[in-house]
Amino acid sequence: MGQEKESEQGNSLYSAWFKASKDYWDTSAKMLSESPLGKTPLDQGAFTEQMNTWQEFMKAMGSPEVSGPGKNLSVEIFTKYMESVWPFLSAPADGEGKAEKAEDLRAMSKRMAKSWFELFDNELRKVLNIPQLGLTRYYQEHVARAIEEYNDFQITMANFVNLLTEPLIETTEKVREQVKTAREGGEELVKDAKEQYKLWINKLEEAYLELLKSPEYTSALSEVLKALRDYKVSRQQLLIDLFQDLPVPTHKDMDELYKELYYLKKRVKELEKRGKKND
Amino acid sequence: MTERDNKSWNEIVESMKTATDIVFGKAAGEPAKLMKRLSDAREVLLSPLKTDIASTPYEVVYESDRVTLKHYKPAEVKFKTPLFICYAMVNRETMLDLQSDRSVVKTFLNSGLEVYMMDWGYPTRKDRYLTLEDHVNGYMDEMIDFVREKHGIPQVHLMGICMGGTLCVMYTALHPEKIKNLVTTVTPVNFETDQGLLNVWAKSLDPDALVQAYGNIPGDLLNVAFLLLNPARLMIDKYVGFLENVHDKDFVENFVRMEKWIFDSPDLPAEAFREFIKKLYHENLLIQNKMALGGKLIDLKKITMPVLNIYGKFDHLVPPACCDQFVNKIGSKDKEDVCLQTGHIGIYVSSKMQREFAPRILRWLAEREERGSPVAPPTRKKRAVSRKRPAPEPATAQ
Repeated sequence: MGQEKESEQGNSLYSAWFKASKDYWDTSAKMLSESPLGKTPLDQGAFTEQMNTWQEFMKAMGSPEVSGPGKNLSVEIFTKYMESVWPFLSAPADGEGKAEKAEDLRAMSKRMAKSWFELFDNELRKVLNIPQLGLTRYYQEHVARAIEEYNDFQITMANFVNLLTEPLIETTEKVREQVKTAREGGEELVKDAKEQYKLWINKLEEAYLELLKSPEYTSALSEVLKALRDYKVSRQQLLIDLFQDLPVPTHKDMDELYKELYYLKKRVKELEKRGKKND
Repeated sequence: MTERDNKSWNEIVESMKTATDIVFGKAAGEPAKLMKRLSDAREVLLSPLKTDIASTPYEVVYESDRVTLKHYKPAEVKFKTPLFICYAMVNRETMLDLQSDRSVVKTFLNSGLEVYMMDWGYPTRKDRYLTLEDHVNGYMDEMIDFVREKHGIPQVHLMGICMGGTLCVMYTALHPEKIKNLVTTVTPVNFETDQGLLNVWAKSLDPDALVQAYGNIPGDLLNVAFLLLNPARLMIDKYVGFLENVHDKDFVENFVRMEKWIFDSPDLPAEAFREFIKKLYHENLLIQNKMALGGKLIDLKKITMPVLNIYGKFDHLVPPACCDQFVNKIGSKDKEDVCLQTGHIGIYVSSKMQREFAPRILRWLAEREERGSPVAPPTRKKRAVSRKRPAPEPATAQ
């Protein structure tokens, strides 16, 4: 019951969003066709038709009749996305209220990323791991794996970059607060921009040193390197598939050759040494 | 949700604005001053700049695959034994000859010391299977034998720099008969410490993953790691300093030379990297006399010749804890630890160190020149080449 209700809400939200998007693009297309640029080959009718088809497709994907892991995918994606950005978008366009009501951009971006990661784990990953069949099953698997690893890499990289930017934002806020508080208390903490910079860069250096030696950082670093490896290996496999019928050697071909060359050279050097000793 | 997460959007924007104001405010100062600086900066940046590095003439006397041996000959040779220098495989040996008034090589030559310097070159994918043994018992040994034969001497002075120093320690322990005196500079031998971030990070690093992803480890990837050792200074403050001094031609020329050197970063051969991380950073085998190359155990007690070990007190790449245990583990009686008040690169290029570092090595070697050489020189014929270094590049506008 709960799931159905959620799905209904999602569909309703989704329809509202789609209608708003469609109206926006309809208006834009109309305006453009009436403008001096209107002689461009923009066919408003065809555009509207495309939008309608897309809407139908998305609805079909989200309908209960569609079974499998991706049945509510479009609704899920949209709902997650809107949940993240809605508080930010719903804030008044201007005035003091914006600062009070709109949420922290960082928190929002984190929520957006988290929603996407959860969605990927719960929905898309399952789709990518649907068993492949037939003659080309291995190639299809390689493509799916490359997409999956690419997403995993993007996720861990985003976390890593978030972690790295935190000291910068934190320190800037702290220094700003410190200077502001001192000024309000009648004290001049820094005389000029140079002193403020010095204070800021010293604090930033300290903040980074603390972060960079933390287990949190080393763990994030290990994860991102592992994800990079997995992605590069899967991409490499995909390239091998693509190039196998072309007269282009792949890294795999060349590495095998280099390995043989390496052992041959080593053997030749050993034999040369032995020969000289015998001389 | 944390308190920080609840900060308003406006505050974030203000914070970022403050950050840029701070940086550019620092660089700019007053508007009039700023205009003058910009005008001067324009003059400097558009004028021809002398930014060539490694301009001391040399001759390439030996080549083996990608590795070459450079020979620097002084106007008058005053030392009987030449100095063989082995640089790290990270970055390039040009750092020892960065500019004419800050050149370790030039200081050696001016005192009559003949220098042979290994240039590891730029590894390509075909070099990915080369191990530490191939570098130490292969390239290094070939080249040291070449110098011994060329001069008809049984031993050379050996000097190692950073990772190159670690390779020299391995070499000297395996071939002590070929080394007259050993100088190690900013050389990590003990890796079990939390003093340096590299040591902390390397512990959780999976070298297999990197090797699988890249083959040889890209120099740029290593550079990113080095920049992340201190992002505030190396990625922000350094360039703010550049903006502040961009009107000063000498400063700009020196700065560009250093940039050229820092980002001239050869890749690291995959197998050698894997071995270095596993055997040294993970297992710390060398200092425990447990490391083997080519099936032979490296016993530091076999290092019995005079040893001078120099390192920097403020070295953030190879902190003192990586260097200061070495002399206690070797068999030499004549050994000296020198801790200089400088950092990893400053030891070679800072103007203050020009008066302390190289002159100290020269004095130390001169005092030990007359001592005996018990082993006969090799008589084998080696493959030698002779290639003069091209003339230094002309002054160029950046």
